[in-house]
Amino acid sequence: MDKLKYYLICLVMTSVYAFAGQPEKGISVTGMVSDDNNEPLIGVSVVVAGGTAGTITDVNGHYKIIVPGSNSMLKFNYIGYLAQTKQVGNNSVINIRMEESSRTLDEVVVVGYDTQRKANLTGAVGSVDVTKQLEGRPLPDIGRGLQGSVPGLSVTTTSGRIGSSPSLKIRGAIGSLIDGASSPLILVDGVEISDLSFINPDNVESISVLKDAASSSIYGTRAAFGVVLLTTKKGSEKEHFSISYSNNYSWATPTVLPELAKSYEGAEMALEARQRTSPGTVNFTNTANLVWNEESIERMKEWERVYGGLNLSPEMVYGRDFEVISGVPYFYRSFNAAEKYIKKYSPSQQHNISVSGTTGKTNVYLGLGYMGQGGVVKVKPDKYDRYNVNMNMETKVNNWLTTRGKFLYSRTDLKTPFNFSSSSSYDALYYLYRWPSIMPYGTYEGHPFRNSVTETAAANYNTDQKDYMRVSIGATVSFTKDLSLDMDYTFNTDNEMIIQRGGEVGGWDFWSGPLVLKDNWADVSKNKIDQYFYNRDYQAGNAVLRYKKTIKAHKLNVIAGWNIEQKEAHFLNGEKRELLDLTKPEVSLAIGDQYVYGSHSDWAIMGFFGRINYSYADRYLFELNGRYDGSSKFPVNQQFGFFPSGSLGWIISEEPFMEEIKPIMSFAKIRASYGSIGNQAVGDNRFRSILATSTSGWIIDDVNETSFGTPNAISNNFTWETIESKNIGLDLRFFNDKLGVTADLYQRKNKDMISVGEEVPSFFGASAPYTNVGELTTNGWEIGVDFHHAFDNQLRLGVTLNLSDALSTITKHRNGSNTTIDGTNYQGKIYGEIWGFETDRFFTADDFNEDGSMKEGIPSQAIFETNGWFKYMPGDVKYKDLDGNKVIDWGDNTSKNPGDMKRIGNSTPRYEYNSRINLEWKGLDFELFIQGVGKRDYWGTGNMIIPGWNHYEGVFYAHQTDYWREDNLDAFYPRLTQFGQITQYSRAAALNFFPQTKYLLDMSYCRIKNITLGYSFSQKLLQKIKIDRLRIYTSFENIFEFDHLGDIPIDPETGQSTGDGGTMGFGRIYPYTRSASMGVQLKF
Amino acid sequence: MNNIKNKFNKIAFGLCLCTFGLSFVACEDFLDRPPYDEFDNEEFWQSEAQARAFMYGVYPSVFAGYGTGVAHGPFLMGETSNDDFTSESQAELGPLTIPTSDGSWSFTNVRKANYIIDNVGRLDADETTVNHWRGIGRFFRAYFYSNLVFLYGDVPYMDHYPVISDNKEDMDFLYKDRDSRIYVDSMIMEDFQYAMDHVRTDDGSLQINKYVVAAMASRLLLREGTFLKYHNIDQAKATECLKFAKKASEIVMGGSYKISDDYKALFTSNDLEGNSEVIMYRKYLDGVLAHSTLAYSYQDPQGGATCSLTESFLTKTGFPIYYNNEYWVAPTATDFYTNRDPRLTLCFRTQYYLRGENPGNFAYSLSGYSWSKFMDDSKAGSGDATFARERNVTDAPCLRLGEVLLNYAEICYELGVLDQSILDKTINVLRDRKGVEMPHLEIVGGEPAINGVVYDDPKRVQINAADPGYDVPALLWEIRRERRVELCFEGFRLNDLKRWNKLDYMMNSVNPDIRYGAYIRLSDYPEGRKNVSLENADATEGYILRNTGTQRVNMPTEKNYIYPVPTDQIILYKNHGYTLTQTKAWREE
Repeated sequence: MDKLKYYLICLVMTSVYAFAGQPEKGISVTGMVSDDNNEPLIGVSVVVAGGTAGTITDVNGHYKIIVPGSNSMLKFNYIGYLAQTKQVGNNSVINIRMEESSRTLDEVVVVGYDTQRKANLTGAVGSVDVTKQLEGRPLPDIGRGLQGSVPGLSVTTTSGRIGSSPSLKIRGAIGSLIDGASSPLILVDGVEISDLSFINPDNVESISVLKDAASSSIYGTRAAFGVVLLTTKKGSEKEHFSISYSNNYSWATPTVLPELAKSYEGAEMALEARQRTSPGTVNFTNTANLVWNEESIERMKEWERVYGGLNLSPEMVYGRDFEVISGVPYFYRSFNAAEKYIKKYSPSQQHNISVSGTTGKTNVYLGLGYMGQGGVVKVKPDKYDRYNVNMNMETKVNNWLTTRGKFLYSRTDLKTPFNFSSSSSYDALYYLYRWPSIMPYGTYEGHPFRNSVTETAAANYNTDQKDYMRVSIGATVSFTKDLSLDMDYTFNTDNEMIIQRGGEVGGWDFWSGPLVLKDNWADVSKNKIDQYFYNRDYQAGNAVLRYKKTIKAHKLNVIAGWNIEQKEAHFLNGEKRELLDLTKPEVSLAIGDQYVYGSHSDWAIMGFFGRINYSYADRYLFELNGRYDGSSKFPVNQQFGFFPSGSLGWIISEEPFMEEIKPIMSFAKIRASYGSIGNQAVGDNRFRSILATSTSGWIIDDVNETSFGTPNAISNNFTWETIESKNIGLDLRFFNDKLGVTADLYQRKNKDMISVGEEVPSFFGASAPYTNVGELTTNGWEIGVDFHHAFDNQLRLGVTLNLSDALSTITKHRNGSNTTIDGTNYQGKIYGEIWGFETDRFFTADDFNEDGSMKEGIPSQAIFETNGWFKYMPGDVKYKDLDGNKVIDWGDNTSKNPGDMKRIGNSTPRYEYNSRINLEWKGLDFELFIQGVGKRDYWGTGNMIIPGWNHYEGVFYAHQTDYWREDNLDAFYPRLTQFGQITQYSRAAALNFFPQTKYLLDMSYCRIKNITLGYSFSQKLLQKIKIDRLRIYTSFENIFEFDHLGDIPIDPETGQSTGDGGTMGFGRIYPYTRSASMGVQLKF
Repeated sequence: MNNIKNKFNKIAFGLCLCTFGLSFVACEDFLDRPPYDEFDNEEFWQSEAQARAFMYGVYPSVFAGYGTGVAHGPFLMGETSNDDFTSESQAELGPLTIPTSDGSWSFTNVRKANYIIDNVGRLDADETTVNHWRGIGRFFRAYFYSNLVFLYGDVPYMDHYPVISDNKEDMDFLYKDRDSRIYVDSMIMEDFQYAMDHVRTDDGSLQINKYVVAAMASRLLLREGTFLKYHNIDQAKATECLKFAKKASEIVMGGSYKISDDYKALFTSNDLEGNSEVIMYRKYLDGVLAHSTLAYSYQDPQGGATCSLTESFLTKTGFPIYYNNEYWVAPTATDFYTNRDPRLTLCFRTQYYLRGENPGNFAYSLSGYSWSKFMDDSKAGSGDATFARERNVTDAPCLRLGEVLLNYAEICYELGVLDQSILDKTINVLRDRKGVEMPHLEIVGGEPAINGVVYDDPKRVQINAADPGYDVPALLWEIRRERRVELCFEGFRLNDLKRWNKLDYMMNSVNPDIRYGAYIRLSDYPEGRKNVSLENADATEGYILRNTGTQRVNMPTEKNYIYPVPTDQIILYKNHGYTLTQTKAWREE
């Protein structure tokens, strides 16, 4: 390493001497160039304006130059700093302090197939400050890092599960009703990537977000909902190699975990709820066959009084912790399952090393990265690892040909315990909070009891291993100074291997009757080795012809291009049962039934595109885009579509009449854009009569016979969705660019939205075919403010603030406004809307007559009193009679006639905001990053949200003990009642928990996403140990939040995920975490 | 010079790259990518193997057996709303109101059957083979239409595959009104006839063959014939259906099927292949396809049978339990189960399982009676993993000769041709079954008799007196009893009550026995006594009163026999200028 340093320094020195050695007449000027912190700046270019003489500063920031005379002007230029010009005059020593530029306007932004100066942008393009957003944070992936980076880019997660990718949406939660079709196109170096987690955040040079059709349409049919453009780092252009190393060590802890009610409290609540339905119930038996009654509840209380809080051995004592009476086991001891299952602190680490530089005509970048993220599972620790290699190389072969090659490799490994639960979609964490705290997590006679901790402890590891490899080659041919051709070809292969290693698990089982010691209670289908192989090959070719011409004030930039992409996917799954040795789960060592499944598919697209940029006097900006795009997703006669877009901008501040206010408003631009893009994400084979393959459920000769479905009905007029978008924007900068404001107002319309076509009678015998009959409109706005200031005492302050909002409405649909609003789509539906009642209060004794009937004048709630046992009583929920008809009802259950219902909320994240404040002072840096959602409502179901939601499980949580009783009239929750798993759309069965204002979850939050404190050692000092940069930092992620959930133990970012129990297990998820981390960034 | 050469180089290089780029994509078909791993309609119906595979998907809808997972098939708890099962509360007989939508008003399977019928002609095979598969398509169509007719009466008949188009003819067909039940019945019989004529006699194990078709026709046309008869819809058509059912039954009876020597094994066997009585069964396989019928008979609590059911089993002498006794009471389970038709103890455990008592291997039953028909109790507690819920792999006898014989006896009775010879080849064959061995049912002067002694069940007299409907003659009473006993828990009871116009048997006023479970002495059940109510609260012994909650009030009307069509369909037809007529009983006058 030292050798390299030596050569590098020699290189620099040689160049300095090369300049200095020139014999020159004139005045010799010397000086030192430093930054704000008086640290020397190395390599600052110092030239004589209008002349040929020039030099760069040496390692101490010193320069020496001969200038022709005292009239000469010296120009100091350094990337990232404001250029300065100084007249030499009589000074022979000129020291310069360079001021870091706010970079905003001159910043070059990557746009579709090109780059553009920020000042000249006419479309809605956001760029991410990669350094601030991604560096020095314990981020497992770029997706999570992008949360709060650009207004209008929404990054959401449903849980804190490791190895899961967040969902990215640009401008609105939805753009099409087709599942998963509203996602942006994500491109790395111009080529799509299927999963952002393949990319090491450390290798990223820049990220742009193309938000409107005018800026994204050049990418064609997959860019209908915006584009995220990433470019990876290239070798630095300096004739100088540098090595960077950075690391991060972090420790994560769950933000919030559900807490079960005390054993006896929960048991009493369950019994009380049950007794409302079935008075006189003595024994409560739950789904897992846990039984309790008054006597056993007394024993639980006694146990808690004597042993609660003591650190008892896990071995359960018969008679003290449990008993078997008349063949029925009764448990008295309480456990904290989470403590057994979940780690308090999960460590993670990241290491990145890169080499970058230019040698001769070749520049090279090589990045290596490792990340190891520990999961929260304690009993069988889960882990997620990623390894990255990224190499970029570019060679100027001669003055007209440049070639480049890129290589990208990523390996991710996810290791999780095998899931023994009967349903693969519900993992152990779901079950952990499914049972009350008397669920025995101890042992008896050394054997564990049946529960998810036991199952996880006995599990083998599943692995999910992904390999992603990309090779790109390309060349640029410069025909003339103005005309060039870029050609690039990329091949990706992405392989995934999932191995599920099953087995058996045994111990004390009481779930299906008496307490028995079993060798195994798991299903035979769990004793298996199950391997999945996915292989996806993808290739893309791009050719772009560029023409640039500037004639006086006219600037013209034309590109024309051709793009072709093709992807083919194979899948093979083999399963073999009955492992001979549970510790050696291998196919060749299993002797049971074997199964094999597979699939094979492909798609292709081809497009021709072009763009014309024209600006006059850097003041009037015009842009036209067009793409003629073809896709294999459509019938042969409809494969191609043409989608044009355009935008214009007017930089008013350059107008002479604005000259006067320039000291205040230094820059002003108005932008407008309009465009349409085809969306090809319309589902597979919607225009083909396919006989779907299925397993029949009919077994002959031990084979579940394969069968085929009736072909789906198809429509003749099936085609693309057309996404039309309009955008108006304003960019203003004030006070010498110190303060900036960017605002956008937009509308996006899915004009030919695909939806199930016009309703057909049941007699048709199939669902109506899909056609382009709908329309969905998204309206939204974004505003961003930034401010930078350097104080005289060397303190630098930077503040950014972003705010955005979007809401989508189905403006056309086959279902009219007289469609029921139970989650179905209809014309006029606001996406995410939640219909419900307004909560009035609890009923009190005063509302009832002697005989229990409601008093005159109290609106009847008889619509809920249909199950034979439920009659309203004091402590039940009284809804508000909004329409004043003296009856609480839901009218026709349509938006036209919703009775007493109204839209009580919306589950779309609204008013998303973020703010970043950073301070730098003499090498010290501090940054505060706040991210939040101003409004998001959620109607939660599941036992944790609605007390007694699935009464068969008999579980209640600590926060639910504040329920209505004669001695607790002021409670938060109503009188206990039992429910049979009501959904948001259950009607009569909802009783006290029809969606309503009081129990609507307010999921808005303001989160301190990150606080970083760093110190960069002074370069002067580092120079002595031959280091360019050394920064140590400590960073805190998700450190604190403000929310409105009160004592309900869910993280406000929680979404609904199928993997965590869906609506049944809402909130009982793989926990979100906060973390503290520290690390080093080193460059030499 | 150098410059020109340079320029030339550039152009040549660019052209080369472009040509290279275009050459591998210039193919016009680049964007035409039919799916690799799916069949397009055009590619299907090439071979008999494809036809066979397609049909398998329909089998489970026709032969659901014990269902899959926790879902029931027709057996045991697949149908609990009848007079065989007790419940704490009785809901009014449904349907109560016209629903806005209704998943049963579905023609998906009919479309599927028509898809088969319309496409088998494309098979590359000889005419006999094509006709065989067309016959199976028509069998499916007949089966699904039989069910639609039974639920709704008149239904629109689909003789070909409907399409959506701008063509008026297509739309008229798509929005056609309901065809009369009588017409659809004719179509069903035509389909069954075609299938019986063309489907192979033997097509291998677990494949639909001629006997499967005939046995199903026997079941469904007996159902339709008696429905038409007892609801007095069309007596001529009723007779036609019954005659068809008779013919179909005779085909089955003419086959090589024989009543099995082991009644229990029909319901507890892990492999019904080769069972002489079984015409069609559903196969289950551990880890692949399993059901929960055993779990519902084992460690899962039971709702319990009614004493109406258990008391309908005869005594070993062949007489009903109340015959010659004004008041028959069996104070203990042992008394109750001794000297009874052996099928009673093949269907029930011989002790009562009250909640709270130590149940041993078995869960409690709320009525005391613990059913065991589908369970081999000798394996209880053996730890056999396939006895757990969703692990049961006993095969389900979907069609068996026993049922066809009972159908035949009833058909003959309804057609007025029943005589001793027919009883001897039907009911008496079942009574001769090894392990059942009950005295023969005889006809003496048109009345039932045992060993020449004419008898009349006092229960029949009692129920007929309370029942506002028609009187069931003594002989028919015995034929129906035999069916209830032999086919106990096999999913026939509710449909039988419907076709006999006897939903009245589900009313406490007509059939008070449906409220009760077992007769017990409280002192025999020190723990369980806390969990049961007796009819008389102060009594120390008596029948367990199960129906302690709501009771049915409204006597059945025609509305309870024929479903209304959902309003969403009526509105849809109206919006398109067509009419879908509401079921007569449900029309608002």
